[in-house]
Amino acid sequence: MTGETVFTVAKLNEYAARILANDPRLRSIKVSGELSGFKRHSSGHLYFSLKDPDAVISCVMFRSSAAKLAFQPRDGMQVTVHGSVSIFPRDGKYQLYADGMRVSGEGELYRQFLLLKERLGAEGLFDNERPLPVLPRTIGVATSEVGAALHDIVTVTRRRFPGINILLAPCRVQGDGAPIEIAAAVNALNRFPECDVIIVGRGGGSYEDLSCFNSETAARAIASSRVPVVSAVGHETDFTIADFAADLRAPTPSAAAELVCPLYSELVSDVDALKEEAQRIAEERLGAALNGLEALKASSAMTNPKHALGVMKNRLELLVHRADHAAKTAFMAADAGLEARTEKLLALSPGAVLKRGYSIIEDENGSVIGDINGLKPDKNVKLVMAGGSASAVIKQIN
Amino acid sequence: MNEVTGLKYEEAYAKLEEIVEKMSSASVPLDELIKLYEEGMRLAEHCGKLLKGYEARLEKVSQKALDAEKEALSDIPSDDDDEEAPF
Repeated sequence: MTGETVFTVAKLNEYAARILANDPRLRSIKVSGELSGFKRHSSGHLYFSLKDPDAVISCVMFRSSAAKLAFQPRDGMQVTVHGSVSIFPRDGKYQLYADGMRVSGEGELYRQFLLLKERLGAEGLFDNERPLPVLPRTIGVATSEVGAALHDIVTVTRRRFPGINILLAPCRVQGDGAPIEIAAAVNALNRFPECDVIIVGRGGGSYEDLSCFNSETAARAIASSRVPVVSAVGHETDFTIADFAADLRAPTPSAAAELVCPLYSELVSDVDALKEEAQRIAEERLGAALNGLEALKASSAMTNPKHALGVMKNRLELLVHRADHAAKTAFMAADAGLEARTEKLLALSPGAVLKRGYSIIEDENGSVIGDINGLKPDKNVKLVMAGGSASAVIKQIN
Repeated sequence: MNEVTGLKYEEAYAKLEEIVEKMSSASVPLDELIKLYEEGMRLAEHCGKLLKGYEARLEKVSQKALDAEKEALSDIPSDDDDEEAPF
């Protein structure tokens, strides 16, 4: 050992670091590999490894460079990193100090994406913006039979509308065969007349996983769908070609299900509200007329043709009974809320009042004549009764 | 009656809305009002039936049907000459 310098550990690391720092190539180098062990420290620095099948190198990217990244790095991405190589003296660890990173091949892929988007857009494939059906008879779903997307769609739709019908067209949603399977699934769903809307998509995944939704084949099938299509390619930020071709884009399968499936309770209360409104109007309009009827009933003009009226009344009562029975049977099927309201409405119906044998007399202007003093011989009047109305002339006032 | 029972939900609901709208007009004669009311009730009943008519079906398109669609998609039309060939 005589004559040889003895280094401290710190000196050795410094020395080696200096050699690396002096190498022009290592001062500015591009390295491509797969991202792994990606971590964003609370300080804002990024720590990760770049790896090949046989080798790995630790990397760090400081906050100032990390802030300039145009994308969110994730494990498994193929990237090209720019930086310098040095040694972290404390650990004696050789690492890559990255100051830039981009997704490998992104430039080319993205260029192809834009070209296809432009071409299909010019063809009018992205012009679909049809409204979704209020109440689809069947919701078609084109997705993987085993993915989370199907589970999410079923869960959400069943919660909103327990009875809703779903028709699944299973297809692969990643890999080489996926584009044609997605297209086949959409086309197949279109052959079912009851299928009123289609959800096509998958849960989240890497850019590569989603690439089948950037295919021309899938886009054409979606654009030519007979019924509206909602795309749900589980990615919040990136739009796919399928998203453009669809009538509506949802960020996730669950969100698509929310859009496509109506809320059962809401539909029921909408119908109820209209029924009640119709009832209110009818009651209001008939109120005055019915007051007039009471007066007429008390007058001798109404008590005279007792017999004829009795016969008519019996016949009407039979009809009303039958109609009532038919209506009740029909409403048995309706749910409890609907049923209670319906029966109340039936009982109050102005039609039902007339069917009990009452008639309303109107003058030529359509005003109700509620008193015998409103009649005189030869006056033209209109009789409104169950089933319609008739014109009449007053012969004589008794 | 058949006119109502054949309607899709959207159509029946839209008609019901239209009827209530018409009923709101003071110029509707009384007999017309009653007819509108009765049709409205039939439409509301029909909507209720459609809402209750769901069976919570979860069905799957057969592999055969999907294969047929795939085949149709991969059949890139070549020459028009082929179309003349009869069976």
